[in-house]
Amino acid sequence: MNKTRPAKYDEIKGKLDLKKDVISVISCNTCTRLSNTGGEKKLRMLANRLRKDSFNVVDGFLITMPCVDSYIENVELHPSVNTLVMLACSCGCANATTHFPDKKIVPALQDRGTEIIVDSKTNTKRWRVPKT
Amino acid sequence: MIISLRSLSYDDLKKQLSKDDKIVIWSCDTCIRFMGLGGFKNMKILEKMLTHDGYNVLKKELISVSCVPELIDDRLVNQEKKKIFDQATVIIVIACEEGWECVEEKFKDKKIIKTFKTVGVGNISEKRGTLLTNPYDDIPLEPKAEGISLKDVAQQLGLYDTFFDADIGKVPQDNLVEITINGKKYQSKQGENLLVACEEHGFKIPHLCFKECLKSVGACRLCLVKVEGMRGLVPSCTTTVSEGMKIITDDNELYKYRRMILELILAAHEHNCLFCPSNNKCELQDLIHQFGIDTIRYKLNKQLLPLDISSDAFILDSNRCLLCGRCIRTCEEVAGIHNLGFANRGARTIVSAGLNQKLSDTDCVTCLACVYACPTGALYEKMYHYVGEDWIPTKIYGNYKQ
Repeated sequence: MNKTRPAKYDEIKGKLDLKKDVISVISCNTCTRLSNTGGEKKLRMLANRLRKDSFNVVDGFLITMPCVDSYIENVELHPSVNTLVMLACSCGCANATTHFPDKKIVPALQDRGTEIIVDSKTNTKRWRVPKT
Repeated sequence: MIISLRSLSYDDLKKQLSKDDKIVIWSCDTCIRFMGLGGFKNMKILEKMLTHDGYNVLKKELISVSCVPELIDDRLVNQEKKKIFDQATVIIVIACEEGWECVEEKFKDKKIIKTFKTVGVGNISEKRGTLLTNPYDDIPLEPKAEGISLKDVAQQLGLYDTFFDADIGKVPQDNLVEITINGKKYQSKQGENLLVACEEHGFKIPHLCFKECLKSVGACRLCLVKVEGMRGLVPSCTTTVSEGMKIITDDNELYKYRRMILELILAAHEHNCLFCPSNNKCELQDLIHQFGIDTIRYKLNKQLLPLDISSDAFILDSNRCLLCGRCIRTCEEVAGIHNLGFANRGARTIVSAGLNQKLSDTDCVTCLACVYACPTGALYEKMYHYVGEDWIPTKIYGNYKQ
């Protein structure tokens, strides 16, 4: 499981244009939900917060695994949408970039990766983080 | 999706085993199966290879998500499984490194063999194949949004992008006996499931409750066949292959019975494919097309049962349920949670969670194993599109069901 942490809200806001960006928020509903960073509730929270800050959030999608084509292929964006805010890990964002090459992709999460045991005798662990 | 590649050759694997070892083959049923490198079918291949080479394979253990420790716990307490795991000396793990670590953590008294190296995260695509997009920080590859093919990753890192059978060419077949299917002679493995044996020789037998990785219960009765010397019609899913068996998989009588069963299933509830998220990915729908059913002779039960939408990950719609029990057996055998079961009796029987509670009030870990096992749209993933000021959710219909 690729665990994630939320990006700072100001960082997300900083990547968005209040006037030009027409936004759709897309959330993964598997690893991120289990990391408590994505899923239905977080999707609503982020969209509401962006709307309160006057961003033009048109709609949102809850997708089981945005990193798998058979799921992301079912996302039908509104023609006016030019920006996707992704509550997904790096591979979900990469797949969004491939499927929607003309859209601006704004990741709303950061990868923590997976935790592995480096030394089983001392139970020393470390995070393996996907490169972005 | 976690991307892992095989790090051991078949010869290297054998070097880690001794002929006295009692082996359990363990596979995760999520990322590694999506990549086509794990799951029940691959475990079966490895079992064939190892038994052919004289090793003692006790069990194939499929787990819905190997990196969730709570799911492994059942294997330590479930009496039926515990008996086998107590005997085992070696567990061969087909899972990512995190999944392997969870197994190692729980079975400290056994040798746990790691067969896969996890290299990062990536995408699964029917058209483009499996792709590594974001390698881990300790992997000498650079991230690419369009992804790196597994073949390239394997070449650059000295790993294998295939399963063990690729190392030896043809998977060996042992204990073969002669059977006759519809008048023609074939060779099949002694003790093999009859339905699987017939399908391997190209004879499609309709079935809904059978799934090879689960115990067979013979609930749907669609797979009935005729076996010479056996009384009445025999459910092929609960029958095993034996020497000289003569089987008829299809004739007018069997067609008539199967069609009647399908009509009765359709009459039990209103199956409207138009509003079903599993439309075009439904095993019942495929059979209806195969049998050319356009009307049903029985009175249709139009009573609508409530949907359980309480789970964060999926929806339970009893109106589309055939009571095949696949989800119940999957929750028990693959997830190891024992959270699903039948409630009520007779025509009022439904699949329910916990003590007939809402899914969100039960021990469900949302591993989705039951959803992948469901042959119809009774269990489907929550895929929503939120629109308007009030953010009203509408279902997404499409061909996403795995």
